[in-house]
Amino acid sequence: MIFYQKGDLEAFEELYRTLRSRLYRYLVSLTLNPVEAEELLQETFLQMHRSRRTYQPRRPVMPWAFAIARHAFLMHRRSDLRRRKHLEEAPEYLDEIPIFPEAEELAEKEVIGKALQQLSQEQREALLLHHVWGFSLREIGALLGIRRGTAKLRVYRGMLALRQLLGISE
Amino acid sequence: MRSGSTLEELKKQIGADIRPQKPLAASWMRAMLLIPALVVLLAVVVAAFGLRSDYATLGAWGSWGLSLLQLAVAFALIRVALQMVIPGSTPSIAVVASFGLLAILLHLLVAGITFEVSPIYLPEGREWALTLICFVMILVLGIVPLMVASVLSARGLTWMPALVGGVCGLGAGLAAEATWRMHCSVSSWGHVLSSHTTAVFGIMGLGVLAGTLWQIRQLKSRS
Repeated sequence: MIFYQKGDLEAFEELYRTLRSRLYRYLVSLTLNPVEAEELLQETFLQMHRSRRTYQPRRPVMPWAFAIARHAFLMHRRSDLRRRKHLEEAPEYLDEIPIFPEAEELAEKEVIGKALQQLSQEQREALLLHHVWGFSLREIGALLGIRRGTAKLRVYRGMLALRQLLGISE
Repeated sequence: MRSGSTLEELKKQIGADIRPQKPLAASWMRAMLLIPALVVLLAVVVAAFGLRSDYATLGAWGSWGLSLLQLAVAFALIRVALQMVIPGSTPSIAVVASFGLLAILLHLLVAGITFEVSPIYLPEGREWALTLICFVMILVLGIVPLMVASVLSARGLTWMPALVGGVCGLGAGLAAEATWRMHCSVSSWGHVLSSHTTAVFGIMGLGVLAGTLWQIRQLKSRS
């Protein structure tokens, strides 16, 4: 990232290869639409390029990159027409939704995927950020602009709601 | 996912603009760029309009001390705004709201202490005129720190530009009021709330407006 900030295009290429899969799956978890996710992935990397001065050296890249992906998603959602289009086209099941190991123990992958899609976007996002991509609660808070305690609550409630959807008691 | 062609498209667009970019300095360092502007504003107010008439009653602590305290809080608010535009390092909304509330309470505390030590009311027959003058002067004084803070914020990235603008505006407003109170000696609650505090919120509103316009511009450039 530091080399990229200095103008190294090869460094961008390496950054792209490292981040694209994770960012794509994160955007799928937000949009529930692979086509939209792919559009937003492009927009995310362009925004990362425009905002590369905002990356602070010696800090981890992932929270910064995920925050920019989230920014792209939120700005996209603010565009009214596209939001309505997104709501109409949400498919029944997305196999791109990431499943985390703790959930895999609860039920079949497809069943979990459908249940994850039914969670609120806030709970699903917090749950996946913590369990799939390994962000700490503090990092989730800084990424989403919420307190650490709120992030913890969303993760907890997300897991609780997931269990309820899967018909599993505590 | 068509990663190969996507990467090539991206490289083409990015390759056209791959100038080195220096990372932004820490938010507190960037906020310090406001200090020269604030010093100049203070100097202009004191030189052009003179120190408040009850300076001897308030003393250095009651005049300069309280203004500097308010300026420090204004600085902290703008620092928060500059942190809000760093992706992945955003303070929580609760923290931002707490800072804002504390800043307003401090402003009211400063007003309360000033009135307790030196209660001065508006002279009869000049209530409206002086209320308007103070309101307008604080608005005018607030424009410079607001512009500086806004330009600094615009170099970052946020999905809450209106909120960032509001925080910048509140900081700029408090800074302007802290500066103007070095001249205005009317300390009655009626005057402070209707003129000074209203102007502070007016500058905050200008900040929100600036942020909203920025967001509209961003959304238009996407479509």
